[in-house]
Amino acid sequence: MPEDANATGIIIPWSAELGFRLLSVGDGLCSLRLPWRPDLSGSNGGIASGAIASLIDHACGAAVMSRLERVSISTLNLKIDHIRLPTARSPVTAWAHCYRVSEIMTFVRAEVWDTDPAEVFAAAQGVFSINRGVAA
Amino acid sequence: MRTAVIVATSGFSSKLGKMIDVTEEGTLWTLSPTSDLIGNPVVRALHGGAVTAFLELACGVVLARQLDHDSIPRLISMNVQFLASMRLAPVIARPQVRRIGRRVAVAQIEAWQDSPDTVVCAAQCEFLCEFA
Repeated sequence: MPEDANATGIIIPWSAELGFRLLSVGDGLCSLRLPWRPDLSGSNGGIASGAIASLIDHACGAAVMSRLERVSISTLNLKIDHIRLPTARSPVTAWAHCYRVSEIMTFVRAEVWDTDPAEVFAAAQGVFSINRGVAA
Repeated sequence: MRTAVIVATSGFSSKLGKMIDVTEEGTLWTLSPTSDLIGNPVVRALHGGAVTAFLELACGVVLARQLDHDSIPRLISMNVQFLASMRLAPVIARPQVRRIGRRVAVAQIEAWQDSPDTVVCAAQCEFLCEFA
């Protein structure tokens, strides 16, 4: 499994800067892990909510792309609920599911957990638009 | 300055804070992104997650100032709308606290690149503002 968070070989600077690790991707599902680092820490010592938002956006985008070919996508909206604070100094894992794809839009849900996959601390829902080429 | 002190309270916010300038009263926030914030290298667009983190930080700090807190209140929920792709160029945002209740505060923010009339990203954030 590649250390870097994309399967295409293209390095995404923000993903590399934060240190996302791709655990799995395919069939509309994507799992990304973010190890804890002092520079990703929030005030409670867990990973900061801003870094969690980036992880969710990235996992959702990757889940969408795994169901599409030769298109680019844009995030239309993203709603993130921070159910509780993440555990201090703990890595976090995001799981995103692209559950519906239409001609122009895709719909995604994501959850993030730290020590126990059954106890998620953040949940998200997003809509991505599919940017077709001018000839399409 | 108060804003700088609040931004420096955690590792992640100080990392982002290095790219941020704030007007004295805290009304306008400017993110001058380095290429580290790129999310789409093909078109060199900013990562939506990086911009989301910036908007959340601006809302949290402005609220902390109004509440006279030294740290950013805990974020409960955030809803972000992306209206246009964002170039590797400054993003200017205007956070506004809409309501401060006993427990929950609501802030909204709009961000633009070229003109304040063309909003590229907007968000609403709900924070827990009671003292823990």
